[in-house]
Amino acid sequence: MQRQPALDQLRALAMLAGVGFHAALAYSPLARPYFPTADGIGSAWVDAVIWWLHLWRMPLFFLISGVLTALLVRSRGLAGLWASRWRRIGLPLLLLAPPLLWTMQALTLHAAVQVAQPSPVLRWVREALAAGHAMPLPGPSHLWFLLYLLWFSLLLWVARLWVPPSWVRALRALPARRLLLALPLALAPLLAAVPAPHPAPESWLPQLWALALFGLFFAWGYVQPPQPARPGRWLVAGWLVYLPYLALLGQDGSAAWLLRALAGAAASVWCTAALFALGQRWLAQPRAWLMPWARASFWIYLVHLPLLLALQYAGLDLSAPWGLKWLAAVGLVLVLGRLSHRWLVQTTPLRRWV
Amino acid sequence: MNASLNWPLIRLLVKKDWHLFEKQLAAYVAGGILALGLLGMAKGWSFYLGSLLLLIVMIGCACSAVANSLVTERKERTLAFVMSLPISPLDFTLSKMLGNLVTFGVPYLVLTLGAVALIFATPLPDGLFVFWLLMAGHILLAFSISLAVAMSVESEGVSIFVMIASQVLINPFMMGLGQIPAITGTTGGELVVWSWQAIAILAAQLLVSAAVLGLSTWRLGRRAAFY
Repeated sequence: MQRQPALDQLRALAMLAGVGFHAALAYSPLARPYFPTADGIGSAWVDAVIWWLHLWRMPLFFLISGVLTALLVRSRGLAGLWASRWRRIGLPLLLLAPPLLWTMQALTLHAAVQVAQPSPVLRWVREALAAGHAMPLPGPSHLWFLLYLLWFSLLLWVARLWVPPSWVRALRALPARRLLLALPLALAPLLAAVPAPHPAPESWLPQLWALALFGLFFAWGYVQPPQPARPGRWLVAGWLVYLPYLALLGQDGSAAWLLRALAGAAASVWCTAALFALGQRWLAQPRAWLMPWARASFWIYLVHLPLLLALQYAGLDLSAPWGLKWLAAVGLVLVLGRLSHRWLVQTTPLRRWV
Repeated sequence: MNASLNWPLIRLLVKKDWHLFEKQLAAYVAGGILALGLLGMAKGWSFYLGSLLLLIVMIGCACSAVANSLVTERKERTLAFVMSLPISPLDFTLSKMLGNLVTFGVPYLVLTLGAVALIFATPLPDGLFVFWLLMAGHILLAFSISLAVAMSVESEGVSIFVMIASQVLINPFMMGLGQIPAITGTTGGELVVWSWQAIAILAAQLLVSAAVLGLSTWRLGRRAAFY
């Protein structure tokens, strides 16, 4: 299968945005109760930016995966897809998930004991340790994306046997505009079923709302990737409809809850589609500065969160502007990620899988 | 008895059975994923619905695998065609055993392990692990008996009766387990407790399953002719 530079580079950009997103969670007032490295300082502007990223970043990853899966199935069949999934996802998950997750848990336990200004999560861990409670088995953390790719590979087999080809043809024939208007209506109930901002489905077992939500984007990419005529306008529309979503975050009441779900769904669909189309247009040729990140993106995705936890736990007791802390954390994670990719992956047998 | 096996043809027959059962198997797999998702919601109603659906999927898959590969084949007289191929009764027996073990065994293992992961990775009490394994053991035993009977008898009615009866016996089996304090007394706790009763029951289930399948294979494979 030929490499797709536009998709590889778009995925790299989304990965870089992901590193920035996870680092910024430490300074988000909304995420403070839940994120382990939540700092005492932050800004509402962080929330304004990161929850917009959150609405399209993972859907974009699944959309790209759907497109690449379709190409793989066309060239190597379903058996080829599963062989590739085992080699590129199953095996790395089996080999690398235990040390990565153990490291993250160990870092959190260490920080819970050592940090003078703990986050609410660290404070809870400290109290649990003092009370003698055993720590639960770690969840998959950020590796949930790989698990869902495996679930979707299995469900693709089911869909190919059960979904009538006429339905697929009808979907492919739908004008892009109609699909862009209809999809938010399908996604809104799923977003309404979970708290907002929607949590990451960090569970070893499938969560039905996440299977449906991200499955829709995966299926979209698999069947007919979005090609809106004027992606810039859809991007602007997505940003505009995000504003009421942002305003309604944290608000109770059924009207707020419904409007928020609809606005979030529309922002998610329109921004994902627009960024996908713009990426296809602007990144069709390999860019010298971006391709190395594209090659290292899977590895950086795997290791960025343990690195980030280590750096941000160390920075919890440092007094510095949050912007500086964020920049330092992101910069160091990316540098360490690239260097470790060079030394631990490119020159070792790991390069066959990662 | 012809000692050398016709492996290429055995593989073809296994592939044929897989191909005929694939669509149903896909539906069962989707049902299993739905069941695990419901169980993972960790709500009272979803736990009840999810566990019921999981049992239905596993039992349905067990019965369908046997029905598709053996009962339907006899009914639609496909067996007559298979008998015209250059295979011995032993080749045929092995292809049926292997085919069924694959078509049922793979979803069975995935769903059993999925439920185990659910027990340990969610707020569900870890003590449920032993109870769940005993239930899964019963389903495996019922499948083994159904497969052995379907391969041995010509009667569609007998095969279907044994399939249904052996799986429905899961109800009295669960009630029987409920009478053993060493097993039910620990299901609500956070510790996995292996009482001698639980070990004995599980060992019996596995041994009898293996014995039933092994004896059937040996007996049917020794036949000089298919009938």
